[in-house]
Amino acid sequence: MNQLARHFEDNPKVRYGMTTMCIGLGMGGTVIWENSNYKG
Amino acid sequence: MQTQDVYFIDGVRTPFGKAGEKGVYWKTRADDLVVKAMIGLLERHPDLPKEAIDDVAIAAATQYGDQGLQIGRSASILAGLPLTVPGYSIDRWCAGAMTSVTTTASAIGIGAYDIALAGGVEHMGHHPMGEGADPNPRFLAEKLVDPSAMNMGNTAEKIHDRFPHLTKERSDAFAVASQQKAAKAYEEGKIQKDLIPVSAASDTGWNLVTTDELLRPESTLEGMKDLKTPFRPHGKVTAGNASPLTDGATMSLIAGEGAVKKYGLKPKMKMVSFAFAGVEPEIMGIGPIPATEKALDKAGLKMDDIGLIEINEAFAIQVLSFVDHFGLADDDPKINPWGGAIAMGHPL
Repeated sequence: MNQLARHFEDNPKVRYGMTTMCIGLGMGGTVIWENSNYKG
Repeated sequence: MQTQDVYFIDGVRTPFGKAGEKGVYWKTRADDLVVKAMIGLLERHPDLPKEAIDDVAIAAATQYGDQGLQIGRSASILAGLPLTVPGYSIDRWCAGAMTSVTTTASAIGIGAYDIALAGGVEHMGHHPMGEGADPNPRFLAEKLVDPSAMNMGNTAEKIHDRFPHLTKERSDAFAVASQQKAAKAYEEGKIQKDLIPVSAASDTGWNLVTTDELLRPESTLEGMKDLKTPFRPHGKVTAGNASPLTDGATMSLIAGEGAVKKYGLKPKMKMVSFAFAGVEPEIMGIGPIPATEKALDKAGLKMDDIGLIEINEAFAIQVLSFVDHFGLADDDPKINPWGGAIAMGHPL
């Protein structure tokens, strides 16, 4: 997530991003975030 | 209680080390790794009163030995947090720290908390995956899961089986690109900003660990071609197109809008939605697909609205199954722009 936060800083034109990962025994998790530096 | 928006204020991690006797953290305790990350994070926010932290959630998949003693609480004491700050432990295997974030964020969102620390640690050298586990014999006797579900490498081979157009060549190409992207990000000083250096004992004295140990920037497609396929004869999953076994810890500061105003915090991002989802255990790598569909649905967004994707790279094929499902290119620049776990490691 800290990488995504840094990518947001570098990309103020991007509004939304996500962190997603696979999980053992058959699961996945996703968090969607909005860029606090977004300048549309 | 009053519901409120939830923000990711800041996040750090330790450099990741190679799991095992040859790794930089072999003589470093797991709890010390996560304590270093906590202290390093809090030092970046000297004006935040530590007693304002409502809770500390720390994930570990093996909660035993140096990851035992209720590591959420014990690491908080070791990090010098006021004794009035409580803490708890979380386990969701690979997504433990993610679950620390979503769980504390939920408490903040309903207004029960204002500020929390959320992170995780896994010392896979000290605690190999499944250490001490005693799987119920019903799993196999009643065919509840395929026997291959217990071995993550086999689950990756199963994804290749299911999607034959996602070839070994594509996996290898994705892996080489991950190494190259990580090397470039390192050269540009991007990754280092959020690494907390760790002093680590070794046979020859103390080292200051400041970079990820497992990077392989010299990787080439040619070199990848003939690597062994340890999970299956003539298989497709190799050490080159998978993440290595890793030791490391992460920590983040999560806060509600009330605390952001009160303490003058500068949020980096706002939580929009989250979701977890289950799939067949023997192809666990496709789990991000239904989780993402659920999270997008809850957010009222489409994949086209998402400009950046940070996806774990347990195996290249696991990422390829995701990009294939959503119609993205293998080398879409919005995916892991600085590389991922194939290059840097993946502490479970």
